This record gives sequence, C-alpha cells and structure tokens, in this order.
Amino acid sequence: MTTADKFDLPQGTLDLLIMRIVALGPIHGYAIAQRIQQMSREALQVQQGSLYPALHRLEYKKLLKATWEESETGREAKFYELTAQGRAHLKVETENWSRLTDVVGLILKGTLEGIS
Amino acid sequence: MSWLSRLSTRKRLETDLDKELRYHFESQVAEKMLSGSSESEARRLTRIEFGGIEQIKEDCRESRGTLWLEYLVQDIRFGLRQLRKSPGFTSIALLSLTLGIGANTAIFTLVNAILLRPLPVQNPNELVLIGDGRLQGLTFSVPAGQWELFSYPFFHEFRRQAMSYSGIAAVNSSQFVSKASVAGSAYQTTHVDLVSGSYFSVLGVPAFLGRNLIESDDNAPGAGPVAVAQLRVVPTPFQRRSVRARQDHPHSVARLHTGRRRASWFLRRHGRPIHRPLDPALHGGGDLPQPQRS
Repeated sequence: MTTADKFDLPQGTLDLLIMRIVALGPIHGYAIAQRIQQMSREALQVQQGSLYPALHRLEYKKLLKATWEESETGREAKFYELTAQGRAHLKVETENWSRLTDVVGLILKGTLEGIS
Repeated sequence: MSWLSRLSTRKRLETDLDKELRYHFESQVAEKMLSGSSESEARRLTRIEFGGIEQIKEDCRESRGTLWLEYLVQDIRFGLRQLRKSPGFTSIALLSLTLGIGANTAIFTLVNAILLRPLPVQNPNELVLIGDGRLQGLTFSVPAGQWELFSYPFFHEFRRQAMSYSGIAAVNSSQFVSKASVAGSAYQTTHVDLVSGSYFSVLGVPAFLGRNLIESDDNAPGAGPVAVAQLRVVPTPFQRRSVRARQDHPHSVARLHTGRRRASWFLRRHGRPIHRPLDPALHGGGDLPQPQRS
C-alpha cells in the first residue's frame, strides 16, 4: 500500500498484467488486484479506478469473458476468464513485451557503461 | 453483444457494475477487519482508497463503449422535453423547416427541369442557338447591326453557306395557339410552331408514326404544306386508323406503325412529343400567319 505510487505502469501494461493473471484461471476483480500486488512483491498496487475500467474494456474487446459465480466468501462475484482470442492476444503481447524490454535493456545498459 | 441489446440490458449492466464494485469494497473492508481494524475504521479507509466510486463506474461505462449512445438518447429526450415545454418556438421552428425544405425542393425541381435535365433530343450538347434567343417576334426592337431574329430567306442563305454545322434548322420566332383538326376530327386548341424541313433531322427526334418533316418539304417550290402533329392530338384508335387510311396521299407518308400501347409506353418512357405528318388541317386563330397551300 505504501508502494502504491512508486512508479507508473507504461500504457497498456495493466491490460497485459490482468490477462496474465486471468490466464491462471477464472478470477474476480478483487483477487486480480491482490494477485498483482503479491506477484509484484508489493511493488504494484492496482487502483480500482484503473482495474475495473480495464476489465470492462477487455471484456468489451472480447478478450475476456465474465460469469457470475459464488466466491470463496459465499457471495456472488464476477469471475473473469480469457477467451480464445484473449489467449492468442496475450501470447503475442507477451512476446512483444519481452522483445521490447530486451531491446530497451540493451540500450540502457550500453549507455550506463558508456557513462561510467 | 450488439449496441442495441447492450442498451436494452443497460439496467442489468448497471446493477452488475454496482454489485461488482461493492463486492470489491466489501472484500477490502473484510480484509482490513481481519488485520485488526474496527468495521467503521475499515470502511472509512476503504472509502478513501476507492476514491470516487461514481468516477470508477463512469470510466467502466466509457470503456464498455455504449456511453455515446446513452448520451445520445439522453440528449434526444432532453431536446424533446424542451420542445414540448415551448410549443410556440417548436411550431415556428417546424414551420421554418417546412418552408425551407419546401422552397428548396421547389427550386431544385425547377432547376433540374430547366438546367440539369438534358433536352429530349439526340445530342443536346451539340446544339447551338444562333442569336441570344431572348426575343420572340419583336423584330422592331432589334438594334441596328445586331440580329437576334433572322428572316426566312436569311436562314436559307445561311444554311447554304455555313459549313461548320452538321445541320441547321429554323423555328418561328412567334409562338401562337391555333385550332387544328386531324383527319376530320373536331377542332382542338393546339400550339403551333412553324419549323424548317430540317428541324427534326437536326434535332434527331424520330417520328413514332409515319414520318417527320424532311428537307424536301420546304425546298420544293410550290410544294403543299406539311404538318406534324403530336400524338396526343390524335388520341383515339379510330382517328389513327383514319390517318392510316390516307397513307396514299402524297403528303402523309408510309411507314405507319401504330398501336396505342406502344404509344403510351413510348410517351411514358421518354416523355417527349411524338410527331406524325399528316395533311394540314390547321386553321389559324385571328392574325396568325397561315401556311399557304399552292
């Protein structure tokens, strides 16, 4: 919680993170937020104000589909899961992401060595 | 899900959205209470973390993509309410629109008929009017040295010498109404134009029945006058048969192909006059010039 605003996620990254979490199995919004927090070792905290619009956007784009099911607390919650389209999209985007970070990393590393 | 079905299930989506966010809220409260906060404190903290819940809902609606449609529906409803509230303004606005649209339609109809629709002749773009065509039978007003009307001998001379045109035709400058009787039928009021023998061949308007005027009709000195009638002047099959019966007459000519159905089809399809030569039975009204029978 204290690390909430430590850095901003690059545009579009949140969608990728959400899809990665959802790929693990049907999950509701609250759990997605918690999972992102845990998996990032508390470095990332997704605000509700970003999470839910992103979920609805992904659902609208048919990358996610949602069903109402009973949650672990016994109340009904909206569970999201990947569609086939979403799965394909996630694969492509993940590859793109790793290529991008590799390239950016290469350049940034080189610059730092040059400076030092 | 289509736009419209989304809109029709808007209420359900709204309750779902509310339920979804409330679930998150309650889960977060429960988590805080587990770590030792009192319920009121947990709620207070969660509310702060959530920020404006309405704003979140609005963002969700926006990413759902139906927002513009909802706005549109709201705007239309609002507009209709406003209009109903001020009937005076509404009626004036409606009247203005009605008049505006009506006037524009009328003007366009006129422009279309006069300027845009081509003349019902073969090559309207190749037609040239010699003179400015504004004056009708007002020879006394023609300024010296400027001819807007031409005498018949001038026309003949002009046609003999002009090489630049594929054909030259003349039409009388005065328009007059006369009475005509076709094939012995009752006299009818009709519009008569005096034209040169080349008139129909230059315009490329074929005759539906019989033949049109040809050059020789006004070339041979002393030849009898020939008239071309519009088909609607000869309305009944009986009269048409009687015209056909006179086929052997030197001035009403062969190649008759008649038939009312075809005629009406032709008229509807092209909306242009159908000409047919027949013996003239033209009787001018009053001071009109008469074709001279030799």
